[in-house]
Amino acid sequence: MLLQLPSFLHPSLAAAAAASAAIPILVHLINRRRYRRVPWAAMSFLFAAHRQSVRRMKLQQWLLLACRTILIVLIGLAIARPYIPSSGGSIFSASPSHRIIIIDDSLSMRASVDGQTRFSKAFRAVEELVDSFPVGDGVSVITVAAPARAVIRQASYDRRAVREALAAVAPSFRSVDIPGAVELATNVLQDSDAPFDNRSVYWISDFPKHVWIGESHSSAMLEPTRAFVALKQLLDVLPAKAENMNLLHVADAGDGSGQNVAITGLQAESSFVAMNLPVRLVATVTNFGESTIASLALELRKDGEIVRREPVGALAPGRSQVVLSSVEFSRAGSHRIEARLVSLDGDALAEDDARFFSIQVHEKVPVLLVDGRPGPTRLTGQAGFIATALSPETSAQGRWDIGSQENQRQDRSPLRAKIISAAELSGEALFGFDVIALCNVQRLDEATWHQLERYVSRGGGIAVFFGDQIQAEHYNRYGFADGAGLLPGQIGDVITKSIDVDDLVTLRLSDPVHPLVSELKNQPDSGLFLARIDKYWDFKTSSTGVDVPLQFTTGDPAIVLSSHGSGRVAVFTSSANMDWNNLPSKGDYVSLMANLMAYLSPADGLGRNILVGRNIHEPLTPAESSMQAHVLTPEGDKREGEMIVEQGAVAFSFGPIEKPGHYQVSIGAKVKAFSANVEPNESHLQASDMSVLASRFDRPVRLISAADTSSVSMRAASVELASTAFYLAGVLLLCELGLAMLFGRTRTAPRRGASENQARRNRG
Amino acid sequence: MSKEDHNSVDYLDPKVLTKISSLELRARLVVEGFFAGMHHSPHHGVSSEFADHRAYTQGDDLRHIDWKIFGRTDKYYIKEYEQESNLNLFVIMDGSESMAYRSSDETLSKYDYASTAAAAMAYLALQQHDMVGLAVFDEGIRRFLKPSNSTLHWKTIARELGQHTGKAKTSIGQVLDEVADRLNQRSVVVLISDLLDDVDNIAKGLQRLRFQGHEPIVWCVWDLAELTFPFRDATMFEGLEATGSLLIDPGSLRDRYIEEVHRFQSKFRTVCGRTKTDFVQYDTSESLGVALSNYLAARAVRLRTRFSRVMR
Repeated sequence: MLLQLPSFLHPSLAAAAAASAAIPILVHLINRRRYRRVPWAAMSFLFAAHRQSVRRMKLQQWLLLACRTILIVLIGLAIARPYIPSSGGSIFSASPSHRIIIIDDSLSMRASVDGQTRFSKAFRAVEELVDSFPVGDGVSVITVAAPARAVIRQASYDRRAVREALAAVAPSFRSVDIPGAVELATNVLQDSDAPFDNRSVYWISDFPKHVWIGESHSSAMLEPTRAFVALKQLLDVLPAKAENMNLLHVADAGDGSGQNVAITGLQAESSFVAMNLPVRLVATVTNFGESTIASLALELRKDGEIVRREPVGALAPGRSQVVLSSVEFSRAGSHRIEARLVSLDGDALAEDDARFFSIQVHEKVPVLLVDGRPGPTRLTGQAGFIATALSPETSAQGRWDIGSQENQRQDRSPLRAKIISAAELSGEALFGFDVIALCNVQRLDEATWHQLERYVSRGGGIAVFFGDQIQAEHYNRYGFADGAGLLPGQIGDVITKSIDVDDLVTLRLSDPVHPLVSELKNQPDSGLFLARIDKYWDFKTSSTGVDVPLQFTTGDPAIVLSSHGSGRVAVFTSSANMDWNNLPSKGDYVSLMANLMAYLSPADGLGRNILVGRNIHEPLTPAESSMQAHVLTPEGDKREGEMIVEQGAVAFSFGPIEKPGHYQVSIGAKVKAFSANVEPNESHLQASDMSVLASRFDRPVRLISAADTSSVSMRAASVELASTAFYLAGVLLLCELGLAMLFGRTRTAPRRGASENQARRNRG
Repeated sequence: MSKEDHNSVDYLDPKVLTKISSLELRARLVVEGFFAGMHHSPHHGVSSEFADHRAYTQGDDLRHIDWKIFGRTDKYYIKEYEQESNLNLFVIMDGSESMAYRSSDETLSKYDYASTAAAAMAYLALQQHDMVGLAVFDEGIRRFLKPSNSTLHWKTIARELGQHTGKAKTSIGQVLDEVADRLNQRSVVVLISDLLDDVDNIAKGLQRLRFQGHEPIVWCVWDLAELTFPFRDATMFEGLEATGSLLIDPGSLRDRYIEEVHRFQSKFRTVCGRTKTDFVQYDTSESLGVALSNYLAARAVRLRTRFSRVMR
């Protein structure tokens, strides 16, 4: 039978404790070298006393030395946490295990039935698990909510630390990051010191069906989900035994905790919203439960005030319904929209019953039209038709009357155009405009090209309309600049088409879902598709980063879109007026131009609707970067963010955002609204059928129900000896004190008075 | 001022001598000792020369009452003589290396303390016109002064006491034998030493002195530290008189050491009892005046008791 020797949770401390046994001996030896010399007359008495006491003294000293040595060793060993392995083997056969707890703290774990959340069930189950782990086993903890996080990466042998780390984990509002969690777990396993067979994973989750199995009713036909594939990869780095992969599920299929209705979307129908113009808000309500919801209402709030209460019709399981509601803004700037479901009973997850939306309302978009060949009247010039299209309600007379002050009261157009000649461009303050359109401009000097590049890089939009005047070589040299310039391609030759009716060239959609032309996809009889194109420039687009939403029926690009820095560039390869085509005579020309200008206008307000877990990120102008900035959270707390520098530009950053709601970023006097929402996928609460899930793995996994963790066959707990060692050390300390008092009672030097009394007694 | 004078002043600390003198006056009223009741002479003086009368005091010898004056005045007067005793005081002073020991708490070494006592006693004796002799010894007698009652003799004694080299060992028994050989007259022989020598040899020496009619007295002078052994930390005790060294934890040996001291004292008291020798233990922390006064007072009482028994 092998000797049952204790192991240590901290072997290095145990070695140190063993080494500390030398401390009392060293102290003794050092003290022996430290003595004083005293001349002495009565040596005969001293020798006689020494002869009689030497054996007794040696015995006392050995006893005290032994006590002190054992005391120090015991304290050291107690700190090293000794234990007797439960395996019954010797120190050589008992190897600790490394157990990795992966706990799902995503939004779906907040779902509750009978007042008990899935997470609270998971937490209790994990506590029981940890308690049942044999002493000496290392524990790592990983959380699944995006981004997955290793709470304890290196194996911790301190149960108290593990429990404290677990207690600090709370259910979040974020979605799952299963690939991230698997990657973390894989790294932890690779770094583990435990033998391969002693590595185990405990995945604690509600295992939503849409995440792990998929939503099809015919599971056999389902493609493996990303989560499933990721977990299979984790299985590859674990021993092929069921107890090495444990799936602890806190929800069962059909347990009723999947009843949930959520608002899964809230947005404005148009990306461009202007003051005093109605905008339609689109809210999507989805029933994720297994029963039909008969009566439901959606409450809409604008800047905190209830403005609409829209009924939602009966909602069958798995069905979504779009609720449209129109609102109008009388003030430009950031506005907060909130949609919330009311009259909702028995909903398992309240956190997805509301959705938040921030909207940026523009006053007017200033557009600068550069006319390459101005005519005597506006419409005879190159930019006249665009100007008219951008503000169709105003007079067509004059060069600078569209959206002018006197007309603004009646002018409901969101755009305001100014026409200048190409010669005037260099003297114009470009940054006062959101969009600049070059209309058949022959050429620009090099400095103006660079000026335009800086303008677009900082968020401006530029539209280039070709025509008969442009010098292709000049544009290619300075505009394209081997891919570094503004233009998203190179200009070739002018292509002229016959006017034969049978060979008519017109326009067609090449990317129907592109926001620029998406409203045309359901209008096949739009005038644009009937327009006649006589001439256009052949345009060789760059290979990447280019969109072509509209092309000619010849297959050549008509509108080419690209990004440059923070801004956007659009190229229309034909003319802006009716010199090369008759597009301006078509009714949808107006909406096409308006959409183009809206698309090119600076993306102010974009990126202000984010998901929980992301950062608030707001680019700042140079003036704003020196201003004080802070964030007002949904709870009304004022929090500081940080200024970051990205590609030479300063931006304000705050986060990651942990809770859904409206966040207001104050930069100087400006207030910008941000909205954070939960990931709609987290509203799928229906749990997987665990037996089905387990059967899809090609190796055994162990299924553990949160309601019955005690059934899991853990190894019997090992016996920890730290407390025993401390008790023994305490007893030994008392012994040492007692012995020291007993032996040292005569050692204390008598006081002077006592000495004299003693002397008197001695004198007799 | 010469070194001799300086030493004399040290030994005759006025405070000490004042206490001794007052005690001496009281003792004269009790016994017929030749000084301060230190010694009661068993012999009558052979050259008693009348000096003065004084009033009778209880305890005075009735034989010295002047009956003629009583007849004339009806009052008792005692006749006083220039020389009341014919005995010598002989001091044997231990000058060995061990007497040089002085612990850190004390101001006087054992030799300093002992020689002060010896000088004081010599002074008192000479004040009474007794003869005082001195022997300073270590392994043998290093200096020897024959008894004399010259008033200048005290200075010689003080000078000899002040010349302490203290480098040699002790051999008390042999020295006592030698002193016994040299003393012609019966004397009060005061041995002042730490007695760190063979007890049996010392006993033989005392026995011989007693046999020759001398009255031996032993003053044992120790440092307080030698009686109480107050050391605490690890200490290397380096023996004086080449007695070796010992590194010990003093606390663990204290009780045993003190037991050994008691055993020695007990054994020496037994020896002194057998040789009818007064044995007095002094430690250098004790006030010298108090110590001498106490001893002389005790001796006076003892002699008076003995005298009373003789008178009855």
